[in-house]
Amino acid sequence: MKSRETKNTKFAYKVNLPLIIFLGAVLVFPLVWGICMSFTNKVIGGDAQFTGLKNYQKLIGDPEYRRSIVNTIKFTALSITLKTVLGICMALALNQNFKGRNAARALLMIPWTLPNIVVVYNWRWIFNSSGGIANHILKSLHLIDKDLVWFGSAGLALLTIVVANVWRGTPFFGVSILAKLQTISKDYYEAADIDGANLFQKFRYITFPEIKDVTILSALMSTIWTINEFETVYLLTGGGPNGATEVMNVYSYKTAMRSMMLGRGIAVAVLAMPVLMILIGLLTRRMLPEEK
Amino acid sequence: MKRNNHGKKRKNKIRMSDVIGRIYIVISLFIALFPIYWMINTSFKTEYEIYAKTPTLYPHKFSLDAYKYLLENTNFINSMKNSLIVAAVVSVFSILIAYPVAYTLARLKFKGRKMFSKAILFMYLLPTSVLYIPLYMLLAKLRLTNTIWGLAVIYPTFTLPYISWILIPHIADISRELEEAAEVDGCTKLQTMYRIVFPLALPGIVSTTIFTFAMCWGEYLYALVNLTSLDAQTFPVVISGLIFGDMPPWNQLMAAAVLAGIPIIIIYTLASGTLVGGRTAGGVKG
Repeated sequence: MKSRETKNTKFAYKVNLPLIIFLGAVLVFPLVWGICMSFTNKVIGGDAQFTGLKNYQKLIGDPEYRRSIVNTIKFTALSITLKTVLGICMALALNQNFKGRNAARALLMIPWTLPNIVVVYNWRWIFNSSGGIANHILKSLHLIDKDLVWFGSAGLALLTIVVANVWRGTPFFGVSILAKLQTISKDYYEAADIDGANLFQKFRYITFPEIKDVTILSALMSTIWTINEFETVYLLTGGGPNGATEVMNVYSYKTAMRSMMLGRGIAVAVLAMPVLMILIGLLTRRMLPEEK
Repeated sequence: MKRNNHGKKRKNKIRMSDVIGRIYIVISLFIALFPIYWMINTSFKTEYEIYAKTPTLYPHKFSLDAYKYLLENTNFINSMKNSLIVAAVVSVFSILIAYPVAYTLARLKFKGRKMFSKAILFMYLLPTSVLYIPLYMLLAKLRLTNTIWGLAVIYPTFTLPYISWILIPHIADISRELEEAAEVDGCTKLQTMYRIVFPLALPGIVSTTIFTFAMCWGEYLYALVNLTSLDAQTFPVVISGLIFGDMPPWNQLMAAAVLAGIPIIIIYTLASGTLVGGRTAGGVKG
């Protein structure tokens, strides 16, 4: 038995060696190198000099950075809440038996499959103040009487990035939760019917406990992605108007690539690490439950 | 009598939940598909028509000008070619290297397995925004910025952990009997892994490869940071370069979006119809 495990170990590391070497060189090494660089004044095309915690002090003292963190939290909280609620509804609706269910499921998945850049430009055009269809629809419904300048005010601009993010992200919640819903035995609901349970009670006492775990899992994963969202914001509002929607990674991109301060750009990511580590830790515990 | 009433009420309620569900599906379908229709619609309009006072629900003057301009006067075709090469090379390379990892994690007990699977999961969850500056510095050192091969070097940082992680349940679901029989017949571990399990895991491998391809196909941040020369740009960078001024050519932008998006939609739809797409789709970063 012992020799078998030794043999397995030898075999496993032999066939996994290419991946270990590759990711060691292209992922782990640059990550460590980058973290070291965040303690220097490294700029594009320049040499790095150790400057201690200066990057971090500058960041924390910069009101633009602090605002970007607040924006990230607002954007993430709003997006995740909406995606969770709409995703649960989508899963519940798709879990019923009706003709064309598979087709509906496939069609509702489409937003998730599109490249993000396509999605973002699509919404940018829809919300465009001249020629955009959003204003036209709202005017036809008599909800507004003058064209809204969607990217011109802080609240509306935040709304557009949330809409684009939720539109693309909801199907991920929907299919994940649907997969779990389909494993719940019909017997529970029949028994509940006999007991005279209403729709809400059935959801509260049968459905919800079953889908709770997968919903939390989806929300945690989506939170990691949403906190680190870049292109939706960068390409839709550019962080505007006047930085009102500038999220953490748009700030980091501007610092590193426009102002060329690579070290300080990495410091932005390093400062977000504790939160990221907590989220990854929570996820790891949920995704590797059977390990002793 | 009382009992009867109760029964009636229950029936009504069930029907109501069905009705609400159906209405929800219809509204969702509209919200999911209308923007895509609008994208296609806009791409066939003339520049004059897109800025009309009242937006038109279909192109009154059907025009291929936007496509023609895009294909003839911009770098779009070359950028699609670049995207295709990077995505294809990275997908094949990644499957080859990551399959053994998924196999060993799903099937074998070995020293350090727990640590190893934790490390894979950690790298899978690590967002690209943490790595883009260090990877830019790496490519600059290797003098690989401004080439698509630079992207081919850094895209595996997300595709390898993704494939290694997502393939595990696909392999774990396969019955062990064949493998045991193969072992009794004297197959080596390597032979079992490739000749016995690989073909059985093929549906999962194919759908995972498709999703890997799609992740590389639409990747923007790494491409934006590392590619400045026109020759090397992938299509997301070229599309974002089409926007300038106050009146961007929306018909061209939407034509580009159609050309970049429709192939992916078709591949996904085929994959989710015939293969086990749901589970694999769930894990794509985005």
